[in-house]
Amino acid sequence: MVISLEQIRKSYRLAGADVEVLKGIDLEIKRGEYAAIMGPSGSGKSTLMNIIGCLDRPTSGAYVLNGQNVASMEKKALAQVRNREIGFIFQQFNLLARSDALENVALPALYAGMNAKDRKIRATEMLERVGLADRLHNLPSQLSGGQQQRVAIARALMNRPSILLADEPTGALDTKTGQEVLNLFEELHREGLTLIVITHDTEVGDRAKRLIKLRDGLLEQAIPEKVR
Amino acid sequence: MDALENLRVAAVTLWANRLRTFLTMLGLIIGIGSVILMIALGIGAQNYVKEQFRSLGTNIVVIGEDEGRRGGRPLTMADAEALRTQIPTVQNMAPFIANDGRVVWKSKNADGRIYGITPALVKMLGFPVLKGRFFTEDEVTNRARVVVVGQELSNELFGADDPIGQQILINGQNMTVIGVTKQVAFKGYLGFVERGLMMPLSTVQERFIASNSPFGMRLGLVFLEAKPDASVDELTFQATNLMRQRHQVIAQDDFFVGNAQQTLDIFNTITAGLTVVLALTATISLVVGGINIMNIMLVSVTERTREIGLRKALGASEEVILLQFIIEAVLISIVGGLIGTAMGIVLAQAIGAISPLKPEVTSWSIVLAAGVSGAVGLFFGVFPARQAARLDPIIALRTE
Repeated sequence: MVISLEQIRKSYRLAGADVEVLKGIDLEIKRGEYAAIMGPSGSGKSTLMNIIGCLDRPTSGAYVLNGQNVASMEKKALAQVRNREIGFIFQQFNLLARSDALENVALPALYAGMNAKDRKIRATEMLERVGLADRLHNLPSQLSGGQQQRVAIARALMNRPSILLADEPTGALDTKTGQEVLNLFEELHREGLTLIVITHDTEVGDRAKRLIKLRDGLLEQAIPEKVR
Repeated sequence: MDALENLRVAAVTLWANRLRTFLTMLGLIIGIGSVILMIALGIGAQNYVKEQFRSLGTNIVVIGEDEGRRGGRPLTMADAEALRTQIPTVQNMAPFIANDGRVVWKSKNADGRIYGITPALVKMLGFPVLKGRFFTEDEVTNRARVVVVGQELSNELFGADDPIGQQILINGQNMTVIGVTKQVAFKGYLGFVERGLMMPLSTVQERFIASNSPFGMRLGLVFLEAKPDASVDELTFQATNLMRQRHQVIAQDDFFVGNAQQTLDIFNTITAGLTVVLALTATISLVVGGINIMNIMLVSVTERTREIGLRKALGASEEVILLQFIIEAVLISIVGGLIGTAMGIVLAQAIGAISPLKPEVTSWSIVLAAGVSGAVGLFFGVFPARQAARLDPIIALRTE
């Protein structure tokens, strides 16, 4: 089991009152699964993604990620977990504008303490993996949206994470390039990577092998792995 | 994350915003530049004062009668000889007498100041010879009727005529002009050299001053030059003791012993104080420069919120972000410090080229400036860097 959530609750203080966004989530994701978390806005899917991505801590409940209890970790330890275990893919790509593709991809390894030579070798491999071998030294502004998202995927793969966590990965792309990104996800899934996609787009959700639906801070139903 | 990579990232970021980086530095450039320049000016002023005093001889001690004392013994040639022979640290001794003089040449007349001196004093104080020559030991021995005239008096009397070889009357005595000199820097004791009538001590004794006393030939002043390895303070102390012994002083001295070192020390204290005041004033602009860096860094943190959020999501800890922003601030201030130092040096040299005061840029002021600019960057960089490090990655990533 890569991810095991048990009675995860999260509440925020808003205008003096506690608002409970997650009301007790039980969820397990196996290694190699390709899951989509779906739900309308306000359902708590962003909050759930932040907790799975170790960007936030639950108010209560247990979260075991790749054998580590991360629910009670300190900030510094969480930063390390994000660095080693999670590959983030954002809707807006979030590439550093002044760094070329290679430097962007190498960034997580820099924070992991890998030396410059190995970083460069590994980042080059990752860019080759996503089909951008001829774009190593392009700045983000010199790349199309689809290419930028592939750079971001290469970056997410850089530190060999336990899970890829994608937040609306096709939200800023046209249908065709969106499909290309989803094809790439499928390839990565076939290679055995664990993928979690957070989306409100049913087309994106349908490509996943498992649908997890959220409504009002609770799992609507845990749809078992679909047979396609 | 290694320091070199940090430095590279900081340099890339700052270079990408060149204009803003330069404007951020500007305060510090001006601050460091002024500190360097002010210290250089202060030290230049010290050197200038020293130079002015050097010709007066900081290794010289002067002994004279204390004119305020009644009933004391006069200063005599015997005292002078005793000082020369009995104090081992004396290199040279020069006796001296002064009196007022009335000069007549052809139809012109003027007031001057008679100085009875020896070649020893000429050598000791380094009287400049503008025309002609000074008198010799032989002329002193022979009581020669020769005179060296101060420049101002010479111009007044002779105008365009050549003063050398002219016969003049001083207080009714006929004298031959053999040279022209001008002021030496020993103003406290030789205030009227510009209008001086420098003659052999023996000539002045014989013809102008009734200078005998029960204790022997009376003198105005005695100049003592310390040996090169002896200190002026030591000589002053020894001369004071010997004089007290000779004059049988019980309570209060009937003489004074002075040296230029004391005056120079006072001037040094003043110019050193001046240097500190100038440097402190300039330091205020350094602080302003530092606050400027802090302001711009705070703006920069706000602008780069999303980048900071991303870096944190990718695994940068608070310490890493903190370090990144501190390094940026320190880099700005060190580069600004270097430019400021260069500017200070250039300005100091420009001032030196057009004014008699030569500013001197010392290595310690450069080291100080470099240290201060680094410290300013560190001090004023910490606050913005902490703001950056503490950003919540979720909120930061959501920022547009």
